[in-house]
Amino acid sequence: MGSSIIRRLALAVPLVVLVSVVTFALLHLAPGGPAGVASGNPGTTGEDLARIRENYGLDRPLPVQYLMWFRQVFIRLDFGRSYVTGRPVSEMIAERVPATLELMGAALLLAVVAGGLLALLTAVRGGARAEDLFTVITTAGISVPVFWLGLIAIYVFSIRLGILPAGGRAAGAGVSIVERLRHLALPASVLSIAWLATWSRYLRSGLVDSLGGRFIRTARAKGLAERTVVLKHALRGAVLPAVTVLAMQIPALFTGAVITETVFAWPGMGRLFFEGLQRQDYTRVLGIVVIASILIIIMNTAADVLGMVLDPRTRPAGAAAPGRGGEAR
Amino acid sequence: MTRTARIEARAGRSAASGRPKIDRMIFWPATMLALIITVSALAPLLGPWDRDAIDLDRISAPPSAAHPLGTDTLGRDVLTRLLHGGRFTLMVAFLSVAVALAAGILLGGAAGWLGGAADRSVSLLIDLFLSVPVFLVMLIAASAAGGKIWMIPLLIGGTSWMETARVVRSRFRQIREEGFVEAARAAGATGPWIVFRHMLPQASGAVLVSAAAGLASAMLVESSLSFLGFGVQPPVPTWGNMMNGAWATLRVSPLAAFAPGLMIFVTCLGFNLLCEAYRRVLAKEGETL
Repeated sequence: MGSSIIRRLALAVPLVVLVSVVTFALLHLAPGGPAGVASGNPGTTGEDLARIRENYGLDRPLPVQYLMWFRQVFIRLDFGRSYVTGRPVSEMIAERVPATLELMGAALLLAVVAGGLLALLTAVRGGARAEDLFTVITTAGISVPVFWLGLIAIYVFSIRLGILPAGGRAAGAGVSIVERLRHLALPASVLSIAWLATWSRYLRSGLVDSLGGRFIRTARAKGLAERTVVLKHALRGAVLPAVTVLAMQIPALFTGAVITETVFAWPGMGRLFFEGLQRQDYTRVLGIVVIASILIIIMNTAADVLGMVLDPRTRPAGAAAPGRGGEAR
Repeated sequence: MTRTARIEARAGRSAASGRPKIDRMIFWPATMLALIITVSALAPLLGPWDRDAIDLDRISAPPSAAHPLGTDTLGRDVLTRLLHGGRFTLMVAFLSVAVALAAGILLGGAAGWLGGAADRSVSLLIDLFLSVPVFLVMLIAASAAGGKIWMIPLLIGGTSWMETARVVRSRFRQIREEGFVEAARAAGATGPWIVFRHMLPQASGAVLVSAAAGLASAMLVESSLSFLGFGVQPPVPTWGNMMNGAWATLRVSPLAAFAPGLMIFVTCLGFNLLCEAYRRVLAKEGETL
């Protein structure tokens, strides 16, 4: 476990650099470019374009451009300025981070709570029919296109019923918590669906496994209440692999966020990325890809560490599991 | 009910969840998929209108006898485009999975058969692909590809081979030392012969499961790219690009927006349910994935 964490961290730096090289090359492969957007204006002369290219350094050879960008980002830790807005990219991203975290956090909370309940209920009670139903529901959850679900949600709750806003985020000092939640409700629910399905599926199969285990028989033989057996003993064994899976889903989460934020006009990093790509705002797109890569590596590592903390078998000897002492009477 | 009785009931329940149930879980998705694939393949015969015929007098028209699902923002018949869209969507999905399977079997097979440095490099490559924001990079790559339709399966396949590689590798490692491999080697069989003739068939179950799941996820990725406007470009219809910009006309013609999404959903559900059912069959036969 420990060595895999060290390996992952050692690989992190070359990995992020490699991703930035590939992204940089792909961006410059696309026709147009930041100056190309300016050429859409009929008042722009060829001279203007040449001057714009020169100002941005876009007339230099590609490797030189990349090295300039590399020095700026990785040595001076500055993502540069946006070609579209002229503002520092780091400022633009920092503005959007709270919105994305709010959306992802809410979606994650929904997925963990609702998915956890779904898994617990169908694992403890219900027979083969419940198992089939569970399979169909969770399979539907991973099969549904996020954008379609989002459009349906908008159509039903905003256009037809008119009870929830179709998009946008309510934030700032004077905004009530109710208003914030009303704006959050649809995008967070839609984004949570795929997670909910994956997480509850792993959790349930873990629960079924551990409920059949001998330590559960022991716990029951001790006369523990069924609630204690399920919640403290079986759940502990089942949560670990499921949490790891949840963290492994982080890259998929970015996918969902790009689409969800676009459909619901949520002012987060996903939409910032999408709009940047449409306008060929190289610095912005590169900045977001680099940050997303770093976040994914951190999440993957966190999953490993979390796995170690939650699994008593990999913990150093002597550290007693919390809550176990009282039950062992 | 006493606790023992409950435990026994639980054990009996899991033992009883046998064949007949799995058959039902295979029958319905398979029938649904067969229907969707047949109808999509026959799109040129079944489509009542010309796929790309623009009718500016009938923009975003509601459903009528002539246009059962209405028309889109350019007055094209939604039903006809839905049928043709199925062809292209499924074609891209199947090609993507073909690319992913080829890469996954080759890399996973090499890792599992050769072991050592090859194994370590492939594991590293898998790790690498799993720690990259794949969808973001794919969006950028698709925008660089500029709507060349044959690039899309290459992109999707090239970034989704990891699961196949993982299962092939682990299956190969399980069976590498088994008697039949040794027998083949003793009989003078060469490495590639053993791998493709004797070992790969042993991994076919696991590969099929990953292919079924791969079809669903390839469809979802292509649809998402196309929905955002970076995937397959019109006038070629896919279910995803038919929904591009759909939110603008959601109020006027909801059906034009919902029908393609429903097809994506139902088809993906079919592939994923098949994958699930087959996984259960394999688990019963004791093959671990």
